[in-house]
Amino acid sequence: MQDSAGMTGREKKNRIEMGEDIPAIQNTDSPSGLYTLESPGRSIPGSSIPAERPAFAVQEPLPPAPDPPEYFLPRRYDETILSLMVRDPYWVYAYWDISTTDVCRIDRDHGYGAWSAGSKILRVYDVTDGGAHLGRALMNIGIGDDSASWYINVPEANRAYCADMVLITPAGREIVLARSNSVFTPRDGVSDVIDEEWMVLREYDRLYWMSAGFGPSSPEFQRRFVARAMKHRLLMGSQLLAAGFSPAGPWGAEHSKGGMSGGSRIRLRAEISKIDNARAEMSNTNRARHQQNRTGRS
Amino acid sequence: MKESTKGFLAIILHAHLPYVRHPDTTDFLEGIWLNETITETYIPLLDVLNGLVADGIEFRITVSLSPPLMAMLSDPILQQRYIDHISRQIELSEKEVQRTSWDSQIHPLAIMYRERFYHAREVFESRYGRNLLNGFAHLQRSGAVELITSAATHGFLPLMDLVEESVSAQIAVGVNSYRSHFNTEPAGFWLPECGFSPGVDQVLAQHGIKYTITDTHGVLHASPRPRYGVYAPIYCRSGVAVFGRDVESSKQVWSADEGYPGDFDYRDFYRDIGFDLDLEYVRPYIHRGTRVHTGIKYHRVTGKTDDKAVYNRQAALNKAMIHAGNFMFNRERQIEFLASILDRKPIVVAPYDAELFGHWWFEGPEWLDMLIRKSVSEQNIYTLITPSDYLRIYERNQVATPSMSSWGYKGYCEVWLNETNDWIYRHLHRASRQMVELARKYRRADGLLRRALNQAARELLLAQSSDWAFIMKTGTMVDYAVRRTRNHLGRFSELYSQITQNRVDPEYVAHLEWKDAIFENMDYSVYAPQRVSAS
Repeated sequence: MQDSAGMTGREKKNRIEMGEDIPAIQNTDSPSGLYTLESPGRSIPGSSIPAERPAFAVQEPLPPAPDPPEYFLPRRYDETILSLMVRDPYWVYAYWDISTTDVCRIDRDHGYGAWSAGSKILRVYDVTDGGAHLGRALMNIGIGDDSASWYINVPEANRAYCADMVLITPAGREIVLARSNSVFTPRDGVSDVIDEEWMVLREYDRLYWMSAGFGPSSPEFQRRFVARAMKHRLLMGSQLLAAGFSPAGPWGAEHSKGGMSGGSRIRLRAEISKIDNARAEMSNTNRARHQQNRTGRS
Repeated sequence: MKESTKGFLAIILHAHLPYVRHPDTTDFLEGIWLNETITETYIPLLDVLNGLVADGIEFRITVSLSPPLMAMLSDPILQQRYIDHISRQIELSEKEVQRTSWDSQIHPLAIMYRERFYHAREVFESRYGRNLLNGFAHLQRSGAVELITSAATHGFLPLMDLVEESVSAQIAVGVNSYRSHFNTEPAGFWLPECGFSPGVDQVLAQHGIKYTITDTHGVLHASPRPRYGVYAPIYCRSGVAVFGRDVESSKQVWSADEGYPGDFDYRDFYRDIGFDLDLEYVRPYIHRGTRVHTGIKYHRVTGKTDDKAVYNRQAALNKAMIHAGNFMFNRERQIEFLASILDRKPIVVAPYDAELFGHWWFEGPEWLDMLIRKSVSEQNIYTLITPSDYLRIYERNQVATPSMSSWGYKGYCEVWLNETNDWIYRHLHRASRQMVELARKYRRADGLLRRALNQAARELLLAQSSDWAFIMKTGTMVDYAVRRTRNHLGRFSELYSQITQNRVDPEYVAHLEWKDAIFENMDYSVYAPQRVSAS
């Protein structure tokens, strides 16, 4: 949204999220109030294209418009949820909500005021080697009552993370309010794994099953094809390795000398970023002109 | 394939526009996106590719058509609107030919635009029967072009996998959409914004997809480490091949500093008579008194100055020829070098947004034409192929898992997940879970209930378009993107309530079917797929 002007970076990052950041919207999908109705089913004179429209399209007379001119999304759904999404190797986005029912239950079980006076903590775990019960808590992030989302700066790429939303009551008791899904952050460099496995996908696998009457759309075909392909691949991998395929090819050799793991990798990322910047610029300027148009450059 | 070839170049053009179709009005600015891209990109590209085929040039190129674009190009309402649009353009260009008759520099350009517009209307109506998909299908049948598909509404898949069925629905509907338009199976699948996350390949495999494309680091950071870098594909465990984008060839076209499109001889994008001429003169051809691009532009880039010189078409075409030669030369050297250090023939994968060609870079289609002609007739180092061709030549490839990646700024998800657009995901994920719930609860529904379920799926898919989050990030036309997100989610939510409360309103369903009429063969059961197990 464009509502972040004037906010500090930290305010922006930790702002109240639900509902309030959704700007006011004009009526209808299209900005105009004008309606020049066209029939969805009419044929186009002189066209060689079949004029039939989707069977679901409504023929004349047009239906009345029971569609409200504008829809609003709720600020929250009153459900207990904590979700994580990966932004990049070092940042994970979390959004959450705690239902009124759960809040009431906490007040009932732990004394009135337990919720409002308690501290809310986002506790992040590294679960690469197991679930949260095995994982080590990496950090506790204090959350304001009005916050509903957070960008978490995680320490390592290529790791699995999950989080708990924890309430610490005034009496010092910890209550897990919600547990998130697990996410896996991407690698930020070349893999350290250099064992190679090779595979041939043979068309006859497919043809064999198609000949047997299992078309590509048949779930049975898919199931058996996947099973067969997997079996075949595993065989191929071990066979090839056994046949002496070196795990370090020309690129592998370069990499193992560190040629690609340091400066070159950074250069590569820089090049990619430059290209992406250029793409973003072009797209921006492309769309920016529409904005200019609105303001009426002359 | 050339016998002496040392490697391969795979040019991939990805064509996509968001689904912008408002049957109730023509009075919205966003409608221009499709109209101007048809004139400036899709028709010129079809012209170039048809010309190559007609001249007997043996080449291969891959073109990805997104399902929303397929839906719009085959939509009679939008086809008629294009005819109306190009007819207005023709009228304006006729006026321009008259107005500029005294100006020896501008007048030939006015004539050029008039000819282009007449040509566009002629081929749109007569050659393609108003449906440009006919042109692409013909090129595929000719053997020159391999058409591939993309996700249903160009959803950015890595931010959807919290609800796996959303990912599989985007892919299933994308593949079905291709089938219904081209009556054949797509071999390849363009991941929107090259957005890959491990696991997506399994869904692609279930739909018979043989390959996809990621950004450079998607393959380079795969594990185990790929022996050939991005110069050979890798197989995911699912059997889907993944090709990585080549940095060098991308940079030559995309880079703001070094890229070809910024050359001073090329046509300037911004100087347009829609802005330059008297408001009353252009009023019938702009948007309700708001100045917009008319597509008639008489100046060249010139330099970093506002004092733009007049465009010289011949000089620009000469420059396109030089740039085509330069690109070819660089690919020859690159592939020669790679071939000398690899024990197999390298493939250089060069994907671009199709809309770059013609729309943004006016001479792009001519550059592509010259590049293909020169590549075929003037060198023997590389052969133009498609990823499918490569997989036929090299059946054996390394098995590795690509890294999560995209070709967006910084290479991951930040373009589609940042402070401008992160608010949408709470709503999108919830709607996705609800759609899965509906599909599981109402298996094999029929009649009105089935129509309501299918429409709910359409509304969810339309809300998931990556374009809305992207537009929110770019900061222009944000209102439209926010409105589209809210309205599709709002309609989904209303349908969900009606369905679960057993009070489906036939008028409401009919209205939405008419208003958001994408995917006529929609089948909501894609949200409750039969599990495919490997046992």
